[in-house]
Amino acid sequence: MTRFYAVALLALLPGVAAAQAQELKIGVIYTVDGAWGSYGKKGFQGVRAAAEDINARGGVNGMKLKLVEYDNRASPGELPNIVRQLATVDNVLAIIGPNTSGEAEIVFPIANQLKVPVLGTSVAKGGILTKNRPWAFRNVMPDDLNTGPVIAQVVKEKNIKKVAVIMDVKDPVSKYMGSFFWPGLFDKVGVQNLTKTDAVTFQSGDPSVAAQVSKLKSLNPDAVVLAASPGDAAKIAIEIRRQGMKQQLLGSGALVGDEFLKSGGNAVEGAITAAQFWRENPDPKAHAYLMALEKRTGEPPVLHDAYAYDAVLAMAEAVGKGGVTNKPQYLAMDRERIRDALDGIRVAGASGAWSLDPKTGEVERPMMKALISGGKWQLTPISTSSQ
Amino acid sequence: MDLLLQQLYNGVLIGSTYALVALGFTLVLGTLDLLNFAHGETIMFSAYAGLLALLASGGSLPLAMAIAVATGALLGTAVYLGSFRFVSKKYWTAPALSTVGIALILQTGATRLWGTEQRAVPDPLGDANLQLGPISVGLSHLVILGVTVVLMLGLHLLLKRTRLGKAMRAVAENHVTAALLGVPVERTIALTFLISGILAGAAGALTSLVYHTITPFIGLNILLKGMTGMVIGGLGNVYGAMFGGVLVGMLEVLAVGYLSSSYQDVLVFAALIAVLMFKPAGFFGIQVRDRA
Amino acid sequence: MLSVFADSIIIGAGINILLALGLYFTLATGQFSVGHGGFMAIGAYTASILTVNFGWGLISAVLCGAVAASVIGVLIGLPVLRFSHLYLAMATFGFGEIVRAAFSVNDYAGGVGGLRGMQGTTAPLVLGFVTLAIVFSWLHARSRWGLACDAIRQDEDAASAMGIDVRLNKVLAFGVGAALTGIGGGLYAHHFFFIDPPTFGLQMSVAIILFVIFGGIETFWGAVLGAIVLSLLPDLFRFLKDWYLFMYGLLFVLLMIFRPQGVIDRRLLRALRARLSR
Repeated sequence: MTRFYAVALLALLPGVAAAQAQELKIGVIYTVDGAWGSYGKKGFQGVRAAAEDINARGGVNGMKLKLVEYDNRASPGELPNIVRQLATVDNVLAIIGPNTSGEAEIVFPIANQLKVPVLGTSVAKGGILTKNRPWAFRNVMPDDLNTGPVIAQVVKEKNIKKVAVIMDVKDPVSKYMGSFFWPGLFDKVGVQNLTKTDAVTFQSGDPSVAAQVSKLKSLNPDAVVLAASPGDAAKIAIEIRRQGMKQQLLGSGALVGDEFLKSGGNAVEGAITAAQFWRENPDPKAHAYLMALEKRTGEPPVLHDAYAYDAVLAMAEAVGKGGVTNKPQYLAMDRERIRDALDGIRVAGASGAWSLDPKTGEVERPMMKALISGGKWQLTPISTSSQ
Repeated sequence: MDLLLQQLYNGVLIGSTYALVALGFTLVLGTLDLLNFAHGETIMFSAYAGLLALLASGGSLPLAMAIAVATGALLGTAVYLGSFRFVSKKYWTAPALSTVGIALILQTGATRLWGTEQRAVPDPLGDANLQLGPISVGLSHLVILGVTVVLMLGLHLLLKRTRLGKAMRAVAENHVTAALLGVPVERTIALTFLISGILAGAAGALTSLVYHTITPFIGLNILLKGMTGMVIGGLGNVYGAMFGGVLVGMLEVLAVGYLSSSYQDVLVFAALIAVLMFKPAGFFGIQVRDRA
Repeated sequence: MLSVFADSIIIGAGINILLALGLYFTLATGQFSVGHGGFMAIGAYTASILTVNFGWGLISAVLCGAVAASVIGVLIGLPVLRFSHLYLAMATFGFGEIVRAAFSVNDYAGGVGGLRGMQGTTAPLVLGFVTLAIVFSWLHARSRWGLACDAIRQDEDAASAMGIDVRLNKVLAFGVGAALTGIGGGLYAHHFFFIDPPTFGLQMSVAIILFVIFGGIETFWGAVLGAIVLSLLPDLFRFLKDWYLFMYGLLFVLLMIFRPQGVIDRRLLRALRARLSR
């Protein structure tokens, strides 16, 4: 009897193998755990929605997309194994993810070493791609590139002459913004930076920022710049208002999202930041994708699921146009083809029209100004001027 | 001068919350030599419970406090059962490590239940602010300070004037002698955990009001501050914990206000080690048994 | 030639064995350190700066990191000699945090942005270090030195009365433990390609403690076993997804209730030996 089953199984195998050869395997690394778990939650939702939509339309060149997902449980310790498993055991064509810049610092070099294309959707630390070319890309704009032109315009419009910056010295992105980017920007546009030599700092997760805010108050600026992650920035804003300060609040693109808005409540009304993701994009194609995404997730799209959605679109585009064979013996060549296709790729997706720079792997997106008005984010595109 | 006064006030406010944390921590340490690593997460969990009660009741502060305190008491009892009652004392690390496990359970549970993002804690007394000269005082601050003082007073009276308090002090001196003298040791220990949990619950509710937002990750940070306050004041010493907590709050605020927060951690932990090395009994003297 | 993936798993487990053994040596004299992440950091940063900025070879860089860590280990071991368990735990914890904070403000070492560009660990290299460490631990267990550590852990005063130099052994325990942990740290940096200060914080120190506690605190085999099992657990239990950390915590609570000495204890070891020698 067992012999019968064994033979039957063997007979089925070629069929299984054939079916698998028809699947385009894309690796996905995110995590729903840890302080940035929402990025991963949305990331998974975004990639799944895109894969389902593409497969519903027949897949790519007749082949269906298959996502091979791993959750590294907010532990960098699992990443070396996961990346290598995706690359050499699961044999994926490319990888999307991970959640954060810190994790990308581990994932990108390994992917680069193993020659697998990797695309980050929520990795915003400056300079992270330069050592990991040619295989690493990202479709999210680093904070500094996004913010400069926008805020330069804002300080002119609002006639802001003096600013004070409060920065998180424990978060690399915020620290970079507060120590280099913001002082540099204000120098350039001729705004007096009251915290240039005597910085006002805090650490991520510090429960109380009352002391820092009191210090800001004593400096009497026209505007306060929040170089912090969204949750901490909201907390600072609340304390600022509580201590009776009425200054204009400014921030980088990192603040846009539900967390700053909801946590901040009344305190963040009137705050202005840069933005890169436009949920109310009137462009019909983007709108259609956003609707499709919202239908699958049941929630209004945010940056993280929209970019993840577009990452899959980009991969599908790269596979289709790049002439990928999807035959196991040509895996290395297929990966090269995807990498070459990603260089300079142009995508019109849920996050609008964007493209990847062939040299740096960074994304080019239109710039936006974001204002919190009436308890909502209001985005307006600005004309991009070279920084 | 204005700024200094405001900063001193900030320090006292934050310090009083640290003092509450240190108190709960030191009670268990004093009676049982147990480092309860789940104390911070108990505070965090109670804070969330209080927040939910606050939101559900449309801003009722008393209800929020009650729910937070009840949650703390419950979790304190859970820690007693899971890390003490059923754990063999033969391996002296076992209870402390078990509290680490409980801390992990509480933190993961919180992220599953309430997400990882910051949650705003609405001020139930509105944004009302009093201007006492140069110092800006929130109305809710008065409540926080008031409740903290009441709790400290209550604890003092409990320890000095009640039978339970006497029993707790006896057990802290020496379990065996206390038992010989007829003190119901096991029950006293259980009640100590319960009271520690109540203090944790109160600390959770009050700290979330002072800090305006909470996340599932505040537990460790708060615990560290409380631990430092406890060491400065003297391990196992209740009055030391009150003083130590406030001192840590003041030091922190002044360091941040006049130096840089980058060095905040280094200073705090260097102070911790320095006190351990040169004045291990803290500023108020030690009351905990020394283990061989 | 093993696959890249299997290599990665072996290297990861090997690094954890070194970290666990490093803690074990300190623990063996009854000193419960909650700050071994600090020694790991010193080993990691030293080795990384040497390979990335100065072009040193990996082995010499790692060994240099170990030396640096052990020097700091001795410097820590000295003042905490007279501390009781509780104080030692808090002091070592404070040490771990100070190291983390110090690297955060040191921009030469990358500050909060971290250090990147390390690479070069291979399975044979790591296994080589692990083998040496295990042989060293085995010799230690059978030697007078090992017995002295045992005696100190059981009862310091009695050990001192027997003529054992308690102070020397305790400081040595920190030095040796820090060195092994430092080697683990150096290899970690080159396996993960990137390190930053939070990597080596309390979470890491606790993880290392869990390796030893789970495996068994009474013999060094416990540290080895604990490191191997807990390294493989994440990959084995991937199906648990979200609830993994929760189960981890629960495992420890249950472990402390039902088997606080860890999986391997003296009795088990004796029973195994008896069976093997039949």
